Parts: sequence; structure tokens; C-alpha cells
Amino acid sequence: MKKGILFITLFSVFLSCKRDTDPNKFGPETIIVSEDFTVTGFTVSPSNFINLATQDAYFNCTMSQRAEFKFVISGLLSGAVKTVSGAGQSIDILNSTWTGDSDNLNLFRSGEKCLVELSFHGAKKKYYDTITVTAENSYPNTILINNFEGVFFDKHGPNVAAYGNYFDGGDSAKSDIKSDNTTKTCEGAQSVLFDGVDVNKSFYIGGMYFFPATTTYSFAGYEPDSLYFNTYLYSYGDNSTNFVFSYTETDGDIWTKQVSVDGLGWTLLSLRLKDFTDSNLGLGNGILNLDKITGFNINLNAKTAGTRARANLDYIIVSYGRPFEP
Amino acid sequence: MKKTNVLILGLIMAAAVSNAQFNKVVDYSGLYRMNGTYNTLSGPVLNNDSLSERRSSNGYALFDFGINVAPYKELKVSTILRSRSQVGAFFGTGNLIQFRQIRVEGNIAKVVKYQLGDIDVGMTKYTLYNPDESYQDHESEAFAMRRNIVAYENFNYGNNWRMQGAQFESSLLFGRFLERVKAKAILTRVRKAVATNIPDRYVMGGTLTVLQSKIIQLGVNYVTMFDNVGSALDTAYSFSNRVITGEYKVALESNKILVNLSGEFGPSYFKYHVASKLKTEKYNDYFYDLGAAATYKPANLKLYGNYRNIGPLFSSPTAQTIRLFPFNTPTELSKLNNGTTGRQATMYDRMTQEGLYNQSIYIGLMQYLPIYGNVTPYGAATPNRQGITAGMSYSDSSSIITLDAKIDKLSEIKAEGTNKLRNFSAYQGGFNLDLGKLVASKKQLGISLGMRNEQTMRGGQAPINFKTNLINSGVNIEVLNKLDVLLGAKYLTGKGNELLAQRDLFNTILSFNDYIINSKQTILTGGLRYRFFKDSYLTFQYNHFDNHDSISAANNYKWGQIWGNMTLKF
Repeated sequence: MKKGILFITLFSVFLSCKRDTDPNKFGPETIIVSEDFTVTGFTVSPSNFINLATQDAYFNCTMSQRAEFKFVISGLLSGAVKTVSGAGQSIDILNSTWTGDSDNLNLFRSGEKCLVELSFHGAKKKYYDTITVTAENSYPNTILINNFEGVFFDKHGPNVAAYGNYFDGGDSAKSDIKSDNTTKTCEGAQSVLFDGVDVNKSFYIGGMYFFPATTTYSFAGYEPDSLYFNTYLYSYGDNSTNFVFSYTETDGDIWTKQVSVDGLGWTLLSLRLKDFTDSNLGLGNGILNLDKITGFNINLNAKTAGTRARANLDYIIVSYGRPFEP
Repeated sequence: MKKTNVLILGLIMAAAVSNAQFNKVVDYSGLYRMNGTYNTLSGPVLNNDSLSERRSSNGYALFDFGINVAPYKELKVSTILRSRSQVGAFFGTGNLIQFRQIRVEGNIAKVVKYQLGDIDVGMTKYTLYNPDESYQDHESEAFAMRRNIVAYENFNYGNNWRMQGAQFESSLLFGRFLERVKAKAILTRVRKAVATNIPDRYVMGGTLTVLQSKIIQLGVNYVTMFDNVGSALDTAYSFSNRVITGEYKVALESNKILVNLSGEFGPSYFKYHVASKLKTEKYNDYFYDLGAAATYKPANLKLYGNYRNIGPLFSSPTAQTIRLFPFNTPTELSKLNNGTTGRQATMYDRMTQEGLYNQSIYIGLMQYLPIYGNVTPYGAATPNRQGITAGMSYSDSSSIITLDAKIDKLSEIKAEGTNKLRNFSAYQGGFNLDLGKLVASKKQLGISLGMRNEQTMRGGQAPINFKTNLINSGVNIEVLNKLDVLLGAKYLTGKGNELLAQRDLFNTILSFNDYIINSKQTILTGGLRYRFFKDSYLTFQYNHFDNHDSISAANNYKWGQIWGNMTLKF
């Protein structure tokens, strides 16, 4: 009986075998060019100065044979890198468009000069040009909350307020929230550093509040489960920090989400607004109303009472449809 | 001394004291090792380089102290405490004491054996398997000693993976029509949730084997690897992979001939959700491996062959993960170019450097270096391969000579980047000759020689022509009682071009990087070994390594290394 069951199981395993053969999984067309391969007319369009907020860049040239090409665009300040590759007899807008996005966490900066390297598979010679970014990329289906650039600090800037132990008590010399223009930035020249000590042993150290120019953010009409709160987050590896992110509604609802800051270095954090929980029971209607969101709040908490907590944030942006991806 | 060290020492002392009270239920095991190297580097690689190391020395001493407590027949608790210090660094005060292994094992009602804690797990080559990193057959004993240390340090016990979790086994005897049923189950966590967006990851699986008789054996294997959704933010990643295989073995035996038919087959199911990509990638594939073997018993001669077809998208991370990071920088003579770039790990580093090895399971196909094996870089479960393997092995009745040979003729199933398939050939073989037995001497005298040749070919618009040769040889001569002279040589060549697939996190190929080499690596070794008792020895060896790169002569160098080692195991 058991032998029969095993036979049936084996037979079922065999019958359940299926094979996917999606051609897209096996790599782009690969060509190794011959030794007499030549390239003519390599240029950047529409010009070597690109406003990424409004323009896409693309490249032009013709080759002596069909070839596999690769552009590597490297931001000389930001560390952002973008690779555009393809295959063809010529390169033009149809096969080489760059929309201003980046392959790593860093974003191309306004005013930044970028090196463009063009190479062909099998050819030793490489070709170079430059692009100067005149304005940062803009991303569809996003609303930028704050990128911490310009003269945002001292503490209070346009549509932002900072508060807590930074000002209200404790050892303010050990606690601060300030612009950080060291290398710790993913976008632009600055991020914001939260660095404080929980002097009154309440876990809570301080926070920032962001509010729109009008009463509410313009999220009306979006699907609640498709809106994401995104921010770059830098961890110092000391495993001492919690952030509590929240957003408030005009009717009194406060939706919160706590995030533990672990690891070391930058990560891109994406939180779906629908996954926040209502922490202000008794006020508001307890329903997520996107047309009533009137501010975002970020609180810095120590994981252990009485200890130091610190982390950097950069480029807070709300995205629709999916988590933000540079 | 740190508090943890005090605590650990206290535990050791407590165990020693309690031994008096729990006589015959506590026993100890240990391994002591003193290891030292002295290195010299020379050659064109140091031209115009005044900063990189020309000479270096390294060494450490360690003691693994195993405490096994068995308060009841059905239960054993064991731990291995490790004390390790760098030679010349802080002396005893720089010692680091840590737990190397903690395990509980026993049986339930004498029916189910179990192990909890640090466990070594393995199933079949297509489900849960830790494949060897390169061809090592017929190597010198001098090299085998180095490999054994690297394997021990990285828990590479055979082809098992070291994981943390639980393992259960049971074997039930039946009656006349069904001899025995064996079952095994494992449950391990292979990754702890990290930060906000990396969830816990588990590996679970099991086998059920039915031995109908000595003739027929049937089995089913199942292994799944999955993320614990909810242990991190659910806007991040969620992975799962399942492999189910069926197995059969049929043995037909006469007085002189034993014929074995065997096979394994089954599907894999891959699913990976990455919220930021708005993508849930799913694909299924399958494999089958059907073989036959015949042994002529009077001559100990075995012939075998099999046909396998491993789907291009067959996914089995627990059988396809490579045990070594080929691009990691070695610790010996690690920097070149005025100390600015890491030296690339060579054949000699792969054999001797403990830190190059990997103990984690990766869901994507890892990068590899074709010179060390291009035909099946991910072991038998290498995806996108079909073809035959045939071979033979022979051993005389006294094991004076053992020899083997094997041929692989494989090809891709699905072309990568073109419409032309790669074709792979591998030829390997060698022998071990025990001259001591042959001349009826009580002293050990052995010679070994092995080789492996690989070829990868493809035509079309992206042609590939890549060849490697690896030769292993060794001699061991017992010149005085338990005192051996050890000689060894390895010679590796690689020439031609390959295209290395660059994959995204879904294993989809995004592009191909050129891999063009024309290089030779040579290791020559000579030394002495004194054997105290089994697995315990004192040895001094001199190793000469020559790295010759015909494409870039500036990369050429010679590395001389004196290696001393004392290992005591009890």
C-alpha cells in the first residue's frame, strides 16, 4: 500500500514538471565586433547640458557593423551611475534614451558634470563625452516633501518645524538636528542629521514636522494602498535608534509606524501609508482619508532609555503606485 | 578580560567539576592547531611599486574544546568552545573565546533521532548539497592537509551545509514486502531579519525513502526556502523557492556483475516579490538525471553513464550556491599596485585561505571564475545543461592501485545572448598508486596523478573558445617511522574567452562581461610531516607559487611560502 502511494507520488512529481522558456531571461543580444570595427559621429543630444526635470538625453553615432554597445554615465560629485545598453547598427533616440534615473541609491545632482563612456563589446577603444546636469531629475507620480537642500536650517524652514529635547530641555549641547553636508547625502549636497541623547529617559528625543503650503497635501484621488512614504536613511551601525514616522489628518487621526534603524550605511526606506496604524484613538474617524493629510512627522527615539540615537535622512518623497525607485 | 570570557571559562570549570558528579556522562574532545606562514613576493607585479608587501608572516594558535554531556541515554548536549589568538598579537590577553558549535541531540522513544542547534544538513545533489569548489582528485597529501583545515574552519563537512535549526530522522522496519522506510526532516533559519526591509529566511525540507528490498529503493525529496513575510516591512522583499524530486534505485546482482539503475527528477518553483520593482517574478522548470552503472565484481571494475537535463531556469539555491567567494581578496599578501588594489585569489589561495569561503545560501546564481571550472560551476545542479557523463573506476583487491576516468559532453539547452548554444567537454582521470603495499613494505609510499581538461565552444556572432587544463600530482614517502617526505605539484592553465552573465536579483541575465585570459598557475611543494597519531601531525613545507599572465605581464609574480603547522586532535 505504502509502496503504491510512493509510486503515485513519484509519478505525480514527474507529471508536475513544467518548463518556462521566456526569452527575456537569457540576456540581451550579444555581439563581439570584429577588429576593423569603427565608430563615427558620437554626440550627445539634445546638447551636453541637460535639464533632467524636463528633458531626456540620448546619444548618436553610426557603426561599421551591428554591435552591442554600453553607455556608462557617472556623476562626478554624487557618485550616481547609470548604464544604458543595447544593440544595433546605429545609436539614436530609439535605443539610447536616458531619462535621468540612476542605477544606485545616489541621484544625479543639479550642476553636476557627468562623464559618459561609450564602449562596444569586443572593441578595445572607448569613446568619451560629458553631460552637465542643469536641473535634477523629476519623478512621475511623486510629491517631494523635503530634500533638505538650500538654507533649510536653522531648525525652522519653509513648511517644516523641529522640536523636542533639542530645544525644550535636557542637554541640548548633546542633541541637535542639523544639515549634514558631509559625504552623507544621497540627493543634492545635504541631508539632515538627527543626533540626540534621551536625557529624560523617555525614549523620545525630538522630531521634525513637515506640512504643505496649503492646508492638506494633494493626495485626493489616489488609492490608499498605493501611496508610499519614502526616505533615504543612513544608519551609523550602532543599533541604538528608532524612528517613528507618522502623518496627521485634519480630523485628528494620527497614523504611525515605528522603524528600527539597523545596519550600516544608506538604505531607501519605503512605507505604505495604509500600513500605518491609528495611534490617536478617540479622535478622528479612524479612517484613512487621503484628502485630509495635513502633515508628516518624524520622531527620533532611543532604543534604550537614556542613550544616544542618531541617523541621517534625505529626500523625503511620497510616491504613487510603487515604492520610490531612483 | 571581557565578562563573556569570564563566563565561558566559568562554564568550562563548572563542566570539569561536574564531571566528577556525572561520571561517565561527560566526555571531552579537542583540536589544537598552531599555524604559521612566512611569505615572500617577487616579480614584475612589484615593478614601480614601493608600498605593497614583499614579505609577510602570519600565524595563529587555536584550541577547540568540545564538551559532550549525556545525562540520559536519550539526550546529549555538546558544545565546542574556541580559544584563538594571533601569534605575536597581545599574547594571551588577545585571546578570543567564543562558541564554535552548540548542539543538542537525542532520540524520542527510540524511534526519532533529532539534532537541534548547529547542524550539518544535506540531501541530494539537486536539492540540498554543497558542491566542491574545483577538481581536487589525486592531489598530493600536502595539499589535502591545507584543504582539510579550510574545510574544518568553514564547516564544509563533506557536501553538507552548516545551518542552525533542527533535524529529525527516523527509520522503520517493515515486513516481508517492504523492508524499511526512512524519513528525514529539517527546519533551519538561514538568515535573521536585518534592518527594516530584509525578512527572516528559512530552509525546510525532508526526504522519504522506501527500501522495498535490496533491489528497489524509491524516494521523494522536498526542500523549500522562503522569507518570513512580516518579519520586516512588507513593502520590501519576499522570496520562495521549492524543489520536489523523485528518486529511484534498482540493483540487479549476479555472482559477478552488479547492475545499478538510478535516477532523480523533479520540478522547481521560483517566486520573488520586490515591491520597489513592482514585480513578482515567477518561473518553473525541471531536471532529470537518469543513469546506469555496471560493476564487474571480480575485478572491482565499474563502468557508468548517465544522461541529464537541467532546465535553464531550474532553481535550487540550496544545491547551486557556491561555497567560495571567488572575487574576495585573500588575507596573505593582500594588496598590490602600491597597496591600492586587492590581489585576486589564485588556485593557491583557494586551497589555503580560510576567509575566501562562503557559509550562506544565495538565491541568485553567484559569480564564478571559469578557469576553476566552467562546465558545471554550480555542481551537478548547474542550470541550462544537457548531455551525457560516462566514466569508469577500478581498484585492485588490495587497493594498491585505484584509477578513474570520466567524460562530460554537455551543451546548453537555451542559448544566452545569441541563437547559438555553448558546447562543453570535460575529460578527467587519474590514479593513486600505493607502492608501499606493492613491495610489501610497512612504510607508506604513494604516488598520485590526476588531470582535468575542459573546453567550452560556441560559434556565431559572439563566439566563445575557452580551454583549461589542471594537473595534480603528489608523492609521499615515509623515510623514518611516521616521518614522511611530501611532494606535490599543481599546474593550471586557462586560455581563451568566455562571456560571464551579469544577473539581476531575479536571476535574469542583464548583460555579459568579457572574460579573456591566457594564464598559467603553478604550485610546487615539498616538506616533512611527522604523524603523532591519527589526524595529528607536525609539518613544515615550502610552497612555490608562480602566477604567469601572458596578456598582462605586469601581473606576473612568484610567491614563496613556508608553512608550519601542528595539529593535535583527540
